[in-house]
Amino acid sequence: MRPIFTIADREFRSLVTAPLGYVVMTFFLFVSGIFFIAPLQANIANIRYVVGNTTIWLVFLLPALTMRLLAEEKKTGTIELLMTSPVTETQVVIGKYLGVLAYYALMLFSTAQFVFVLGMVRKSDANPIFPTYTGLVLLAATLVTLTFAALQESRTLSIITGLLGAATLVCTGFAAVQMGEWGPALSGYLGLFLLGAVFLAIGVLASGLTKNQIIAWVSTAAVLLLLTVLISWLTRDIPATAPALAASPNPGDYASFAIDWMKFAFLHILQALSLQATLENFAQGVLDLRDLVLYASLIGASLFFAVRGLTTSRSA
Amino acid sequence: MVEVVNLTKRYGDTLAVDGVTFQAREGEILGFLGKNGAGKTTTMRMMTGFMTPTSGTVRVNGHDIREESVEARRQIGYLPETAPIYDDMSVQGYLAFCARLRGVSNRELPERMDRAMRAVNIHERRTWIISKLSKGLRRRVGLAQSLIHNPKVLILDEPTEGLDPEQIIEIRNLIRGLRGDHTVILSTHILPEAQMLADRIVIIHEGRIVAVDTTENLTAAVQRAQRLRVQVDGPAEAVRKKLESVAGVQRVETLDSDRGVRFIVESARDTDIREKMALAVVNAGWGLLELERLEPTLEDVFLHLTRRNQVDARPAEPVLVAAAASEGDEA
Repeated sequence: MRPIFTIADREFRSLVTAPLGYVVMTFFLFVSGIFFIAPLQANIANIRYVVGNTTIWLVFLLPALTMRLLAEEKKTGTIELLMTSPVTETQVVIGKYLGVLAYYALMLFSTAQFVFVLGMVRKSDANPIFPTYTGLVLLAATLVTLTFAALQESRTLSIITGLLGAATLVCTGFAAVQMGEWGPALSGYLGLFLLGAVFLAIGVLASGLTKNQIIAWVSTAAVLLLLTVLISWLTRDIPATAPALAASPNPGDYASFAIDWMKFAFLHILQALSLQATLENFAQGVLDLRDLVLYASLIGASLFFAVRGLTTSRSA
Repeated sequence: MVEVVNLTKRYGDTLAVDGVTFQAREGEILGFLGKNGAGKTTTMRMMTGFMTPTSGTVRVNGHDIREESVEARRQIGYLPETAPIYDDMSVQGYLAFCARLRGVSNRELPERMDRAMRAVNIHERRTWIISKLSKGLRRRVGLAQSLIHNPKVLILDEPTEGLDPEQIIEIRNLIRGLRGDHTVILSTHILPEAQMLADRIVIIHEGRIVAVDTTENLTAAVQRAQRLRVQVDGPAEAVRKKLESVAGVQRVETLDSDRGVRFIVESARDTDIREKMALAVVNAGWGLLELERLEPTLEDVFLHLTRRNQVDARPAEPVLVAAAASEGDEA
């Protein structure tokens, strides 16, 4: 366990202190901010729009977090020290994965500001000092101390960060109750987190298969685009029932029946892999076991193959 | 203690390392000597578990690097050839990371870090970001990470490569200080470096071990003759005859030259004939352009070994003679 934590800690720290993490975080907050403000101006105060519209941007943003994880180590040769330390390939992959996953959780955590604002907007007689202003200040303080804790490697600062973060979450809870409809909002967030977890796992796999970060980024984004937008476009009007053979078929009908049937099966398999559909469920507050199984399998398979990739690179 | 048994690595059709077998005893410094491309790095990468050998194995303190990889790797400190380090970390952050990764407990951590940083004299720059360090300092950080968990075995791949003379001396002193407490295996393509540091030397050529012996024996074998390089402005044959006539000269070999003639003159090891040679040339009325004593090079060792082996009539060796002779000027 300790090697996993050590590796995760390093990755998280490096994202918190390095430019790449800032760029991704800034862009993420910018985009989600737009989807927060736009409905608000149309007098719709609902967090659901943020959750729903941010997904497509994650397709491009999250691969930027994962692209360097293993590819950069292979390029600069630091992988040699990692792989000759007494750690297993599984520990390396899981550690790196948990590191970026924690950073993604931090990204979601910083969108708690929307909840604070909505809490005030939705309830006109709300006291602005608590939870809204208190929460916003706590959130900012958490992020600032976190940066210092990461830079200075100080244990005291880490503990303070943890306490501030917990206090922020408590405030978020109060704000969410004020906001109302906190159930769907929570499940929407959970869905966003799990979806990101899938994206990141696929990103880790891509980064493990190449030395080139650009290739890792592009290929991850392409796969994610396929799994979300493209599949829902391809499967937009598939028939619900399987094609049937005419009662007295002509010889030519057999061929077209076979083709129809294969198309039907293929599209249904594709549809089963669609992440877009699962996210719609989450946004409506539905936690479907099938969705969770799909997520878990995608994460498990990606990380498994990433480990295999590292193992075979030893004998190359 | 490290045992390398019949280690072989094949890339496609090429044999990079071919049946390498040797041992490093506890507490000794073992020099792993060979030219660039001889298979040193590949062998070391297999010893540290970074690469899986095609066949053969390595045992580190009795732990097989293939069967008990993690346990074997725990015993090893490794400095790869390019000393790769995470550029975005601070010196102490990086060393703490390495220490935790290798199982140093939180309680021992401050002391181990302090000791490693003092050993390589980098503790004054502990808060520096690594990308701001010079090449020599980076190499020292690399050495510090290899020492951080106090490993029984240290494997250092060309630790002085690319450093300036002052840094080289520093690193060499440091390595010398490790003798006794650690088993050190150190690769180099510089013969004097191996002679200075190592207790025993393993010589690898084209993927095969050509010699394993104590440093004294190898040095003595090579230095039986002393060699001088002489460049004279005068007629080749006459100069040659004159040089051969100087007392103490055993053999004269003519080389090409842009001006005048160049010779390699061999004499007995313990006599200095430079003065007599200079006198002979000047008295004959020729210009003496250059007179230099040649230190034995890695090529001399190869030549010597292959000559010796030819007498033993070992079948594999003629190839080696050709290879060593054709690359003789690169030293």
